[in-house]
Amino acid sequence: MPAVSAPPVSWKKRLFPGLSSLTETQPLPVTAHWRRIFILPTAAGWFFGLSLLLMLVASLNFNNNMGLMLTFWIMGLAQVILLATFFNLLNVRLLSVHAEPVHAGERAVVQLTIDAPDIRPGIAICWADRKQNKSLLMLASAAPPLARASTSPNGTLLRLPLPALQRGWQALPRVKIFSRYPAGLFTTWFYVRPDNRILVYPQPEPRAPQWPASETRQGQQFHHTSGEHFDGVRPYQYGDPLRLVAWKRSAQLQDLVSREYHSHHGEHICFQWAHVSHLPTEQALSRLTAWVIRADDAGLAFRLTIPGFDSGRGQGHTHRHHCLRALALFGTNNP
Amino acid sequence: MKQPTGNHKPLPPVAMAWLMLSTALAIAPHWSSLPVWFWPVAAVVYLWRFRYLDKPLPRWQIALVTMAVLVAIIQSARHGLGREAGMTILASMAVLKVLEVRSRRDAWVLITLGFFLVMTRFFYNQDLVLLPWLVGTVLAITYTLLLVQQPTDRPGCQTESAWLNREILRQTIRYLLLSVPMALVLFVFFPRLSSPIWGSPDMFGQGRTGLGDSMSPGSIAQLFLDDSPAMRVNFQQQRPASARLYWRGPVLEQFDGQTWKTTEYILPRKPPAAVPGTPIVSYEVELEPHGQHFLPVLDFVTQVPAGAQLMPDWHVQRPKPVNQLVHYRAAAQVINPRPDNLPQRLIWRLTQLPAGTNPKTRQLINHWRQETPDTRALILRILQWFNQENFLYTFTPPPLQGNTVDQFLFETRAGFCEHYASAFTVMMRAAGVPARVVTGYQGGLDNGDYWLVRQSDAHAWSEVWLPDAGWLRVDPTAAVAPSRVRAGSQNWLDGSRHWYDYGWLQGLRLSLDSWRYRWNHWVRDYNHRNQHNLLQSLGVDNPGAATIAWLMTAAIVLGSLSAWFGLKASRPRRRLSTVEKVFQQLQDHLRKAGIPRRANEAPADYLRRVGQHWPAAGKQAEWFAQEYERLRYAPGLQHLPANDKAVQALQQTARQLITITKKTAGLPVEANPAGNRY
Repeated sequence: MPAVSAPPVSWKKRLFPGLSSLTETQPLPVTAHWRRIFILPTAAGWFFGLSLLLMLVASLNFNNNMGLMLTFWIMGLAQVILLATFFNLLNVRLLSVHAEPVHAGERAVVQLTIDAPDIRPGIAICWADRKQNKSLLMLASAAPPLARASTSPNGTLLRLPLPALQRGWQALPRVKIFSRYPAGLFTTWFYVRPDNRILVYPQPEPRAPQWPASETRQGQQFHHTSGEHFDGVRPYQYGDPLRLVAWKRSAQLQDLVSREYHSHHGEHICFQWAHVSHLPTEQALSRLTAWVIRADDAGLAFRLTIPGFDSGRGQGHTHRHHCLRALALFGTNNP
Repeated sequence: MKQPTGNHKPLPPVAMAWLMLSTALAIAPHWSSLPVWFWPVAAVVYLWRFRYLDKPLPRWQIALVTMAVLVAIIQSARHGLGREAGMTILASMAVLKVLEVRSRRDAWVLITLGFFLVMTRFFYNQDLVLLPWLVGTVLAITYTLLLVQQPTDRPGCQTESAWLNREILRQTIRYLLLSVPMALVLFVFFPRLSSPIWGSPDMFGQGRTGLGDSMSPGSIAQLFLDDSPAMRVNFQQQRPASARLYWRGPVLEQFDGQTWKTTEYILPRKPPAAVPGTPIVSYEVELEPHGQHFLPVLDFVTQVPAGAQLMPDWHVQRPKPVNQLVHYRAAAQVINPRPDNLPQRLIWRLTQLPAGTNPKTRQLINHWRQETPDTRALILRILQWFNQENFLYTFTPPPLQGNTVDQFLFETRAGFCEHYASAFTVMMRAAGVPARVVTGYQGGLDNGDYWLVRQSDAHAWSEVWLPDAGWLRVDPTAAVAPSRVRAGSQNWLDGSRHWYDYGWLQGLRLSLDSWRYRWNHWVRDYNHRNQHNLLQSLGVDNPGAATIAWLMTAAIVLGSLSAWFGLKASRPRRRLSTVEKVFQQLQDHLRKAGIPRRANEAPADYLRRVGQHWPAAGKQAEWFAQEYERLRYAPGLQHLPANDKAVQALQQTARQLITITKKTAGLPVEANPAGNRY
């Protein structure tokens, strides 16, 4: 690309892009170019090689030609397998990485899409960071931090769990895409440090107290809004909780509709920083998060105002995300 | 970096079965070097494991079995930890591993062990017939190796539990064929050792059939049933007639009434001078291993093979037993008798008979000796007697006991060459003539490139010493069954030795042996010297370490390249259908026109974007997207006749799209396509 002021790419980076992927992020998609690919024998491969060496020395010592024939044949086979393993990963692409936001302390499910010009069996993905994998293993009932599949030209979706640690933007760790196919004697891999990041909402406070009744708010109507007093219906929006769906009405209209609540008597819920300002910042954010979730789950319209952010009155999935995002990024310089 | 993987997951039953099969294939040809108890143990282990493919034995039970096997190994290896014990340990390890094998890790151990077991077999024998076994076993083990690594989480994996997965088999064969070039180059050019660094290949000898250092009635008749090759001979000049080819083996001078034995001479004798006036026959021998020290040579030897010694009884031996294929050159004068002196003490010893044995024979000879005092006349008389009395030449003679010669000469009168040689020698000694039994091979068979001598050509004859002439060879068998000597060991017989002695089978065996001869010549005997000559003929004199390093690098690069291109060419490529090709062409054009398809963009989304860019083409783009998805993804559509028309319409639309986008300038491209950021 004829970039005007592109910094000169050093010869090291050009020759060994695999090394630069140790530290630098790369825009997706990243293709396993042959200069990116590492390959080494596995433990089984070393064992196999050692026994080949033994066979070679023994046959050579006695000039046992049939033994040598066998040994050299297997050596040739090992080398063919080396190349086959390498070819299996060559031109595999990491197309996209995507994860829905999660709360701190939860596990994000990162969806990675890989593809290749043809079908490649046994392509596996894991985090390159050992600590990452270890912490995942320690999480109770964690799925193994490894996904394996065959690629297809249309793209294959793999899912990797990732512990979400802190609210805010969390950079994705380095991804290791590797394969031991076809014989398990060699493992070949390349690293990608995707330039994506995932959003981590603050952890909701486990047993948050009820939000303070605002001057315009009365009662706790959301506890008994089980269907009698809704004001009307509107077309179903992506993100509406299922309990909001007006099933009977939907059946009549042949389309999904949701109930629409207007807060009684025109009053609405407003979560303000002042309500929680007596708490340490993180706890305050936790509590606000819990309230936002609770209000949204109840299908209530609410408003969130914290320093530097005012959500305005709103409702639904997008509004909730909007608020939680603001809480997640509160106080960070990173927008 | 250690990653959690599926290496600890239990193997599918099919993989287990293949693992067991390939291990069994690797062990089976070791049967002769493994102790007797090994086979029932292996059979029980295999049967048990085959019944419970998915259930390895609990650890403590394996420990128990291992202890039992260990005790058995120690019991059967009481004579020290030799190579036999080593083999037993290796094979037992493999079989015991079968008991506990569960996951991929165990499988790799067993696979590696399998290759190792295959190699050890060749220390005992490198016969051509092992080549198919080598190929078959390598195929099975490699198949198992690839089978074990098959992703178990692949969709549809459960349905692929057929006993033979053709796809993997094809892959195995492809890989093995692709590794041949490298193997070949390495085999030819990998630097060979001129001599072993430790040990000697002869340490892997084993008991073989063949002539021994003793002979009792029936021992050569047994060999008569064995058609395996004993030696192959190349004559430099004209080959003497088959009837005159007596290959001298062990010479038996000691008789105890039952068995003839060799004399252990310590000092060799001088190689004799040639007798003037008789042509010298020189020849080259390729001797199959027989586990003894002697080298069969043509009577009477004039040039002793290098590294071997001529013993006082005229047999040739070398210091080490022949446990490998041996090559030697020798020369002989095919004359009879051969002038030689005999010391007095030898004359005395070669006329000894155990006291009191065979009285009837002694009586007869004493009688004849008085009638014919001339030794030559006596010999003729005995041979005539053999010829005219009802003596029978048979390889299934009745057993003899007590005074064996008396019993043979006066009662059974049926015997094989050793009976006649033994009887004749005893008769000569009874007459006071120094005589001995010579064993070896007689005759042979022209097999095209070479003269083949088989174990069934084994023979025994007599040698008597005449003071005026020297050693005279007398073959009493020739008096009984002249065709045995004249026409060869197989042709005196009217019936057949075995039920399977068909002519075509014999022919097959002979042609197999001629292949074996070539195999020996080209492969089995390839060594440091041949390699040196080959390199010299290629222009590399006295290769140093650097040259060898270059050669090896070149060989490996060559091998890699061939494998590289072979793999590339044979990689199963998904063929694009016409529909896909049309879309591909359209994409290529649009990319050049400035609207490339994004990596993760569905065709419909892409074409919508194209339609936005060139509003004039919007309709066509939309139609194309719809039709493309229908033709590409609707199941079974490809086989309908209407499909062709639809594809043509698609092609036409693509052409229209290309024309429109060529003619009209598009709207400005979005500056920054929305990425995956959020």
